[in-house]
Amino acid sequence: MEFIDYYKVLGIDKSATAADIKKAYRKLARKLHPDLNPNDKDAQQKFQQLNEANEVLSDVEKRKKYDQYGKDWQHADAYEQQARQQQGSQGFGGQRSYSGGGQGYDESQFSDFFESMFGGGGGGFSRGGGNRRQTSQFKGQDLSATLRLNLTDILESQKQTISIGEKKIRITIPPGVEDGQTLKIKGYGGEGMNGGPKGDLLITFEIFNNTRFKRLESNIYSTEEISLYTALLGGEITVETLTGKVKLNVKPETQNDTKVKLKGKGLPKYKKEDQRGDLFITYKIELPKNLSDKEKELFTELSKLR
Amino acid sequence: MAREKYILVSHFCNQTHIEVSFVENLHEYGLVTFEEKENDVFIGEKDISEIEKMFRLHHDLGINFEGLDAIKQMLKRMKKMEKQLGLLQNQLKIYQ
Repeated sequence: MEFIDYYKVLGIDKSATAADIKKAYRKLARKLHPDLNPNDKDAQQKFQQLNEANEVLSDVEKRKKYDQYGKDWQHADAYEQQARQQQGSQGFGGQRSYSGGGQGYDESQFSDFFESMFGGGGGGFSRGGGNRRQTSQFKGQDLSATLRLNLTDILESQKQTISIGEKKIRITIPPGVEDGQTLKIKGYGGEGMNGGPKGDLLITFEIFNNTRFKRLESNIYSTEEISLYTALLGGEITVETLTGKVKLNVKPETQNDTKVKLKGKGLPKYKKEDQRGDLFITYKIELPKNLSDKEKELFTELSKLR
Repeated sequence: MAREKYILVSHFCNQTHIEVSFVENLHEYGLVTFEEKENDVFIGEKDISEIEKMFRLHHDLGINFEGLDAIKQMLKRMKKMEKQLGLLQNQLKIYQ
């Protein structure tokens, strides 16, 4: 259990007055409030510590106890245990039945340090007659996971089983998911704060391109080399697509960098059944090398015709 | 066609301990839309989390309704820009 210096969390001295604490808390709360920092786990954790620090330091009794035992909170536990033994059932903290209000109170809102210091499960804290609005409810932390798929895996829907703690979730990944796209599975995230709803599980897809094609959304792009003669005179070439090889007619006098579109030969469109993107092919004309004397002669002759 | 669910404002306020006047103020400032039917006032399901969020900001940070409006607009813009950034990063991969 890590010791949390509540004074440091609030950025104040040990001699700070109640007004100083209030001022420091308000200032930092405006900066770190989870609603102003969506998806920022760090801010959420700091806000939790800030609330803890404020809860303790703004209460004279709790502040006194914290100041007294500070880092040596383990001794505070031993002291409390001794006091409980001496006083029977009247000791402070530790008694879960003593939770004030109790409604929607969630132990996980405080750190282990806090619970050890002041008793877990809200023992010893009055929450004001069960008015749960005294502390804000927050949705639990969203959990993030990354799922790596090959580009060729997204041509059809995929079924995958993911383990979240002890739970196993079976998900169906629709064809055509994008690289970086996130799928939200409601209620499979962290526990809510103060009885708030559970967070969500966010699965981000990392699509590894295991093909020679470049991808932009559902369209794919490739470059094909064609011979000078095919470019000039036209002809038939065989090109690769994601679903196999296809034959393509090259028009006579095709220029370098000419683009052709193969409709429907791209990737499936996300959540649009039976719709696919296109394959765009750019022709690169390959010039012949190591010309023979005869070829040189013929090209010279050709050049004179122009 | 997807159907949106609605909840009575009074019922929502009872359940969440949020004052009715707070929700009415949000409506006045155009931060929430009411659906009225036969003298009953409803809010849409999609507005629930938004109202709760604005209540927390108002309650925890003392932000007034003008401030809530500004925050709502800025969070909306931030979300839009994050989406655009993700899209542009994906597009850049083509040239990398």
